[in-house]
Amino acid sequence: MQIEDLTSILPEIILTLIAAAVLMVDAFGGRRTHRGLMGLIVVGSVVAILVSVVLRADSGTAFSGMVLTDGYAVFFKVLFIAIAALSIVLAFAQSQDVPFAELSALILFATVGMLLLGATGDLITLYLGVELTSIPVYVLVAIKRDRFRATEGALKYFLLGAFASGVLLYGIAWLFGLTGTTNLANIALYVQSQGADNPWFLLGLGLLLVGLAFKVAAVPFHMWTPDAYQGAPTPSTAFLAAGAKMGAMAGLLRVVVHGLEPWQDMVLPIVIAIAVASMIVGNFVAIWQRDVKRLLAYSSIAHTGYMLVGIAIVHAHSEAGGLMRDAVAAVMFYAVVYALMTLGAFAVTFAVERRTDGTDLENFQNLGRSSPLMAVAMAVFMISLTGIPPAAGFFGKLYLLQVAVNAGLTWVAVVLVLTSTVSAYYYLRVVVNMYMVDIQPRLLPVPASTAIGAVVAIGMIGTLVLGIYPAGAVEWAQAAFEEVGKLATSP
Amino acid sequence: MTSETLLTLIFAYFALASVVFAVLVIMLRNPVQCALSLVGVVFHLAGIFILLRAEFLAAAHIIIYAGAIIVLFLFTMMLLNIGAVERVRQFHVQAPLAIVIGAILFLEFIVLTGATITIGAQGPHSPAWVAGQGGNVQALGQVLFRDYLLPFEVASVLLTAAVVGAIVLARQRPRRPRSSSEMGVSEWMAERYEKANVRSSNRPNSAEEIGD
Repeated sequence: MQIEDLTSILPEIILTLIAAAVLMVDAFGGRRTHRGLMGLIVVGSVVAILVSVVLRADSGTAFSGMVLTDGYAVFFKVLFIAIAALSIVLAFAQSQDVPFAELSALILFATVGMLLLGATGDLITLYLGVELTSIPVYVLVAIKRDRFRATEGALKYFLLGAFASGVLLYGIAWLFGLTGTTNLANIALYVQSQGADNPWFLLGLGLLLVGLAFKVAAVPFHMWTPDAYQGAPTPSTAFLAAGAKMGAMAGLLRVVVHGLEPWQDMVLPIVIAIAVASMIVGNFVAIWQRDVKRLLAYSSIAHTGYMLVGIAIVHAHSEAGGLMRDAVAAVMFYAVVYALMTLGAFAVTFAVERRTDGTDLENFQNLGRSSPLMAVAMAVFMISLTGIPPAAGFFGKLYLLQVAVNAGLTWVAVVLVLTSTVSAYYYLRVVVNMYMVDIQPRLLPVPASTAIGAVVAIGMIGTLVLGIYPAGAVEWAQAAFEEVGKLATSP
Repeated sequence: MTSETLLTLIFAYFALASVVFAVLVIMLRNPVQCALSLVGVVFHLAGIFILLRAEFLAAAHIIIYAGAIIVLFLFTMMLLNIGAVERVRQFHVQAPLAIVIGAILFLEFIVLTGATITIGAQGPHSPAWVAGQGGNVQALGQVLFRDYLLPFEVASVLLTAAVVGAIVLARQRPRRPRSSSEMGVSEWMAERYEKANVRSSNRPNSAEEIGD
């Protein structure tokens, strides 16, 4: 290890130190320090974001190839730290009910795992990143232990998640046994030299993909999602959807870009099948949901499907440089957009939950009159999730469609468009309930909360800005990918 | 007596003793005695590791298994307060399945000791490389604290997060439920037991105790 290696994990070190500081201050200071702790976390996150952009190491590998320091890693570091900070701000609104300091520390620890997933160059780091993201999130789901639904969701998530981690590790063990290395680039080199027709490779690869598919909640490994999303306290759900899931997505994309090139003929149909199944199941089952958190859970399964389309194309076209770059950039852009609109949607849901202690569609009735700003924001998020301009979700889907059509997968693009049309039904039903259903007596406005308001505002501004001017983020993603491409050819 | 035969005798003792203790683990009826037999298995396996010149593995084996995991087993038994009722012969249901799987495993060992099967690449850490480092403790140190330094440190963050999480969940005391949908798990279980008409004389952990 050289001292320069440390700069490559400086954001992770900062987050870990903040988490430790938060725990210590809370242990001695107690509840009255919570406001100050939130300030510390926000300032620390901004510092960590600045550090990851300004003080970033040269593009290359660090810690003997364990982590990569390319633009892709920096892109996801910025995104994930921002998501974590927003989730903690959101959780501050419920600091009376839950142990806020421990919750923040757990979110920060999980974020360290997510950063490693975005930067991973090795299956060992991938596994540790997945675990470091998952274990705090199990606790976040169950953090209100006296709620029956929370405990139920957390137990299901924990048991299935532990099983999926085992499957992932088993796949890694197979790949290590077969190739003698856990380094992604070296695995790809070995397979290129030896040929990919060894069936045992496929076994290891399949187990690896199953483990990751569980973590991103793709059909048929999505069973835990609705219960965990609905049972968890809403701020935890927001982090679960926007954070932990995008972390696993970043890791999956990394594995696909670096390690899986030689297997494309065999893996492409599987990924496409999972993507199509996720889009169909997620969108159609969401139609029947009455609870908005559950509805958003199925919607998140559908959005996993959309992103998997992009990942499948990355995989199929690793030689065709331009298309692969566009596909990676499309997935990265979609991750940003999805994180913004999901965080915002869960923040509004949280505000509504605080009003009437429920997240059914009925609880949203009358919101357009009682809390017009919240209702407008929720409408923007729903429109964005559907994919209607001028919200950012439109461009997210547009880029995915473009690469799908350019890659010759027109039928997948058709499925994407058709299932998005179906999704309009249930997203717009939320809007209908907010504006067009009048009930007597009229409900009070949602309780004011600066923390929730800030998250909703950031989500809405981000969604609209990216919807009107998406080019900046896309160019950044493409530039980030150019560095990845260099690395993949010369490990 | 040559050192060769002496080594064989020592190996025979360790091997035989570990098998005997392993049989005792599944045959004895008192769970505490089972756990202590497991300690015996672990110690004698560590002896075999030393004969194989895997000194670090032997030490780690004793520290982790005998020192931590089996103590954890014993603590759990102590906390659960397993009484005379539980001291029945266990595992008789899955015995046929266990015999089949054990037989397959045994055959696999026989095959593996006879033949060398290679379906992949060899890793960089060959026996010659380990010898060049001056032994397996040195080799392990080189690999763990140079190549795998970052995963090693990340694992410590992971353990910290897990400990914090466990304490968060264990420390909270369930509040009074505000409505039935918010009923705590313990209250819910207590209600279930009452509905199922479980007599407290039959169950030592009666509804009152679970309800806290």
